[in-house]
Amino acid sequence: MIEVENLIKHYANVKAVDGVSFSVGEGEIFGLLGPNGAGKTTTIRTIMDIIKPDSGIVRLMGQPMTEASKAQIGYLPEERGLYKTFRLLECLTYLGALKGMPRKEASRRASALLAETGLAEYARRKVQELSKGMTQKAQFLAALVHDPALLILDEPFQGLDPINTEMLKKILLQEQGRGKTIILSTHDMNQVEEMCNRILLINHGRVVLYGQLDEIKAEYAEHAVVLECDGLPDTLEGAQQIKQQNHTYEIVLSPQGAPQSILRQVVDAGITIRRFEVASAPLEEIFIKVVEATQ
Amino acid sequence: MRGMLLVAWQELIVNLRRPTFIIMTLLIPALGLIVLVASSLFGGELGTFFEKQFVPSQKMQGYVDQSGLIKPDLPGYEGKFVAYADESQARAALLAKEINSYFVLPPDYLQSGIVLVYGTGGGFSSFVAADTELLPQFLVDQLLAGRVDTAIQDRARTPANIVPVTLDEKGEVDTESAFNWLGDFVVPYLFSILFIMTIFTTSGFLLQGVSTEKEGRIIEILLSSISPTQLLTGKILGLGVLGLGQMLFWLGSAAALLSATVAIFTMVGVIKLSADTIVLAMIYFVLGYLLFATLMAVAGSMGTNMRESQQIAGIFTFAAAVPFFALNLVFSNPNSPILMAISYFPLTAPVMMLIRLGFGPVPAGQVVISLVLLVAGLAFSLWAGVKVFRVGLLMYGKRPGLKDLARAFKQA
Repeated sequence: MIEVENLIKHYANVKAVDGVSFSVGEGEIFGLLGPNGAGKTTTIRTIMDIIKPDSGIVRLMGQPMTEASKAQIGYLPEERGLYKTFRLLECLTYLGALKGMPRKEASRRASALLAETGLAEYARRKVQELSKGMTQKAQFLAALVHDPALLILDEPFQGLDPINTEMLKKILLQEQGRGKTIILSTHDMNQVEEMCNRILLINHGRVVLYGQLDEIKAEYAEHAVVLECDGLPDTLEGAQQIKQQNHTYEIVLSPQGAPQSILRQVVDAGITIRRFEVASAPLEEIFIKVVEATQ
Repeated sequence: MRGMLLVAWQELIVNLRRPTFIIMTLLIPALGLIVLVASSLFGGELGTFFEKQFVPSQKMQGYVDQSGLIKPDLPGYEGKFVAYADESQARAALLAKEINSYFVLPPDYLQSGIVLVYGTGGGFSSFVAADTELLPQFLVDQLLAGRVDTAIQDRARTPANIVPVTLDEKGEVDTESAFNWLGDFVVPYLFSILFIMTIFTTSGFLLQGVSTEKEGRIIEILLSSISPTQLLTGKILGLGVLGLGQMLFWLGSAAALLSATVAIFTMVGVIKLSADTIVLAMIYFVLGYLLFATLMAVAGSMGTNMRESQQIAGIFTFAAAVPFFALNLVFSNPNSPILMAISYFPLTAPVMMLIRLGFGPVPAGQVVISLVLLVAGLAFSLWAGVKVFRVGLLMYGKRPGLKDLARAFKQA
């Protein structure tokens, strides 16, 4: 769907983006991660042609980005707002029309989205009369209204309560189901773990981690298993270290130790097991580890 | 192109609904209508009515006649002048506020013509208090009453009721041109006044719009859909149409009021407007509007909030008003070098040339130079404006510095 090749952007003497390359396939939910000031927003703004890169290429569906390509992308920036004095439907229709959709169609689609997100009764209200949560949802809808093939969302769940967060996640998954591609930039690692197939982590404008999320997690995982059960046998062959928290045990294995061997020993000891899994590193831990290592 | 037209249409609709725009647009013709209605109700006495408002009071004027020429009982001036035997009596009456002022005719008045007018509250007050229209009439009547024929006396009081007559190229009396001066002066002058008002309203809306979009963080969403050039030109076009519509409405109302004035006061002839003046005025209006609108949009993009943007824009609005400070020069010498410089400088040219055109023909060469420089200034401001606009729009909480602007010119 989108390919970014060796993107470079300087601000004065600072290299905000330093040779960033990645690609996102059709129907993927892709996580664009990084600490504050890492260059995420600059990367996104460059993709959107809001700012010009010093060098590098952005291709959408195999073609270099042009003014017309913008219509294929729905964008929710981190710094966002709506026309406060406009009526909600009028505002969404206008933003949809700016993306190339005929006004009538934009209005029809905006109405449908408002109904889907429980905002139909506020369609004729002025944006300034909406609550913060409603405005957040409306901003999200503004990125969707023209039915784009690619969605770039910067902190889409920021400021939303769990119910609305779930609602928007559901919409995003529906969009993915319709073949839409989504680039998600967020600091909420749980959301990324839950939704993304692949991730890109940038720090100081450089790519420091890029690939399939489960592979990255496996790569950074300790050689360990997690057990939730009522105690452990006195001796466990293949275990190097055991960390206990209530009834949950994280067993770090020796280089020769195997998860199946640990499971067999516990079962043979007649202990009831409620949960058993091969340990993987939480994304948040990986994030901190990688960012600190690349400071 | 579609994006630009959409922005233009949206700006037009949104600003057309603004209460300030509606009030402003209707207020100007309404004021004209009120003046016209008041004029027709008061007839020819409107001037006298206003005059009376400025006359301090209806108190009499005192005088001390040392020349022996004044007849105290001269018909027609009863209750307007009161004689005092000497200056001390007149002064006491003035200080007691029994009279507005008093004048002294010295013994050699016939030779010198000197009349000393005494009043209170400074020189200007004394001058106003003396009723400068009535006093000369009073003295003419005093000098001539009983000595000459009454017709001669009347004529001496009002020696000339001037009726301008213009001859056409064939030497025939051109009745239509009797009020041409009104068209040649009033129309460009009106244009210049309306032009300034349009700058303050329409371009002000542009500044407000850009500033609000920036402050409200809508800009990034807009720029993800259209280019800064489309956004800027769309806004300028939409508000330009709005401003032009407002101007045409005002001019239409002015024309209607003028026709009504001609009919009510049975003026001779029709006000014939010079086509050249109108065309030039329109050209200056459109070019000037485009220039100021661009600058206002740029100012809107540079400020971190509305107040800061307005401060930046103040530089340009001040420039637009400079020609009005030079009005005295226009009256005394419309072709002075200072005025020529103001006529050539793109920021002041539109208003200055509109005013100058009203005072007679401006040499064609000067008009051409002024227009060429104005077009060049506009082209430059559009070129530079788009670059500054792009940089300024995305800088939240910080005004772009010289370094940022220099980089913008280098990169774009």
